[in-house]
Amino acid sequence: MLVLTRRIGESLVIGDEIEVSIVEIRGDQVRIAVNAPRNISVHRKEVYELIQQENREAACLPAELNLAGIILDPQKGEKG
Amino acid sequence: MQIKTMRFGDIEIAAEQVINFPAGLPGFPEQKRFVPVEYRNESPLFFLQAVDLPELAFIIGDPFKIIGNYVVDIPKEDLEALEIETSEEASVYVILTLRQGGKVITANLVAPLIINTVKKIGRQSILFNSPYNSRFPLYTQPQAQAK
Repeated sequence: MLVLTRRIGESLVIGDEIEVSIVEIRGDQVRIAVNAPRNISVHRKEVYELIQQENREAACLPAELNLAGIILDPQKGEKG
Repeated sequence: MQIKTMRFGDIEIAAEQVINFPAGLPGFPEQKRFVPVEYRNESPLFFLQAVDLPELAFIIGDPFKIIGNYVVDIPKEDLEALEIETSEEASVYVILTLRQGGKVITANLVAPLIINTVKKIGRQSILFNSPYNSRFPLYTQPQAQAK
């Protein structure tokens, strides 16, 4: 973990293609600009962690699925 | 090609059916290849099976058929990452989660899967400032009456 101190208007460069700049500081809030290639997504950490957790829960499916009364196990369910 | 799956056993898939997720999915960043597996004919739901992890499969659904009124503004960074130029190339799906032993089913409306159906590339898009949440209830099985 690298910890650096920056002033307003200063930036960090991550790798070759990502730049993080301090735009404004107001009270206890810092306004940050991120310039990254389009294939790299940038999210607030708590939002990203929420989606990670949701995906992990969604991946836990029981072996036999009962969706609206319909058995979702294709090896045992009705054909066609 | 044949792939191993926990839910369906060994299944035969065509290379053209594989959808690439270059960024993986949040929580599963290493899984970059998925293949759709039909649940039922004409159902708005289907499985998204990881090609390289037999135990990983999601249930996903067409939100426009299962929610009714779903409006989504796909961030332009995601459209560009997916090389989507026209709306015909894009498909939107939402991941379903079973909770409380399957009695409650919810859809993640704030992080839909966006797929370029022509180029077979997909991505999970996290919507910013969206009125939707990650646990939209779809269906709750009625509780059995106690005697």
